[in-house]
Amino acid sequence: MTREESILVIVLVYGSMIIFTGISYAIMITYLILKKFNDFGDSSCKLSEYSPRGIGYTRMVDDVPAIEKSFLFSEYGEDPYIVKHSGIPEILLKNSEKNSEKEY
Amino acid sequence: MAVLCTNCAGKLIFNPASHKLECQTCGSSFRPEDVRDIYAEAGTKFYDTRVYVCNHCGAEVITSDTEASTFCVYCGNPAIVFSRVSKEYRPDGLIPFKITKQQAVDTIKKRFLKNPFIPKEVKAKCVPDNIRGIYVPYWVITADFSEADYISGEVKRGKSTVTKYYSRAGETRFHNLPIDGSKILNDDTSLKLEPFYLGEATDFDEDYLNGFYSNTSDLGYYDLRRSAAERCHKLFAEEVVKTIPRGTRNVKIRDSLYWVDIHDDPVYMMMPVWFFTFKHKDKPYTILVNGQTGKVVGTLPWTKGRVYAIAAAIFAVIVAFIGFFFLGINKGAARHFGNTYVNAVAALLVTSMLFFTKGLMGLKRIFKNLRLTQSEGIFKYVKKRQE
Repeated sequence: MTREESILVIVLVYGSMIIFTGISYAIMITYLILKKFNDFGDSSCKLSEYSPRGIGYTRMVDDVPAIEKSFLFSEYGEDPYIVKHSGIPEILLKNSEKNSEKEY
Repeated sequence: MAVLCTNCAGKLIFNPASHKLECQTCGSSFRPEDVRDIYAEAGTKFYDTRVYVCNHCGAEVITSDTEASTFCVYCGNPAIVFSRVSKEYRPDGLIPFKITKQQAVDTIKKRFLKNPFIPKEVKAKCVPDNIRGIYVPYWVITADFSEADYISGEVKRGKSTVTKYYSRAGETRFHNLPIDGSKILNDDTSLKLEPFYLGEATDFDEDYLNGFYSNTSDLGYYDLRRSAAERCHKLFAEEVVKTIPRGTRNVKIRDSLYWVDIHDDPVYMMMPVWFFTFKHKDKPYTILVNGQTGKVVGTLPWTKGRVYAIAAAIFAVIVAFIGFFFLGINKGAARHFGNTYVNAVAALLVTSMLFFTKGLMGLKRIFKNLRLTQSEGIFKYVKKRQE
């Protein structure tokens, strides 16, 4: 590699690094400006607001093997709640009928 | 139908400031619970409404007969036509408007006026005529919920990064969880309107609707179950990722299984929301204000020239600063400031990776929010859910 070629490579590498850094900062600042001035209303509700007792964990295992996924989903793969159809407000049932008519 | 003033037979409008029904003709005021509609059927499960349909987005807007609809509160289009007088199911309760129209306008204006990045013509559109109060239907549920999650995360081991996997499963019970009962309003948008404080809820009385629009729930039972499951999953997943050991980066829920059981008799409620609708460059925008708390939700268009000029200036400064160092012009500066200068440049380079990812993700989120605010998004969403 000639001296000129080496200089060209260095200029290209450093040049792209500089441009990338400039773009990154410009993107971040643009995001922060728009977030502060033009984007309103984040979702602020947490689980604790609706579930005072929190989560009762039945499984909490770290660093599991990849095969764990199939064990996990076979163990928890069935609906634990008995499907019941009592106490459903009439409007929900009527809307279900209407919606299925539309689909049909 | 709306009740009339007992003194002059004028129409009564609910005033959120005084929490009373006020006669527009003689100025008399009445408490909603003291006023009874003589035409109303006692103990009926229905109430009378006037239904308008928007020919543009397909939304149905319901009014009492004190309010005529002249444009769609969802997409701002004037192509709205009176459809029919209809009997609708009575909700179990409602949260009355607490924020007046003027307060809603002032809240939005406060955000607008000192904002240098909002186009002037948008600022000029923040007038009471462009704001409508609408009672949005919600279902308030109690539900048991269980979920199993398979999670991945990255851990540093020496110089390399290792991907680890985690399993979590658990159950919880949600109380008084509000679920958006309308297909027209995007669930992501309605979620941002929360919280609504149910302690201020009252039994349903159509007199509260006087002067406002409303919508009825178009969800079927399985739609409600699906919406509830997704809502519970979001809240549950946020908590679950917090249990992953510290120092783990890039934590992602790879796969989830979840089940929901809605308890008997979910409560049908109306929640108060102010809709500020306007058009900018032929695109419709809808900014929402929680009618109980005054929380503003939506993404406004920006003055592109100004925002991008700032971004370009920052780009130029950063490039000049680092370029100055790399080009060797700085030899004197480097000698003078020593390690501080070198460290500053190194820090700039390292943080650029982080800023690039975070900035891009943030911008992506803002553009998504902008699309939600532009009602064409709501339009597509409605179509998608109707298919």
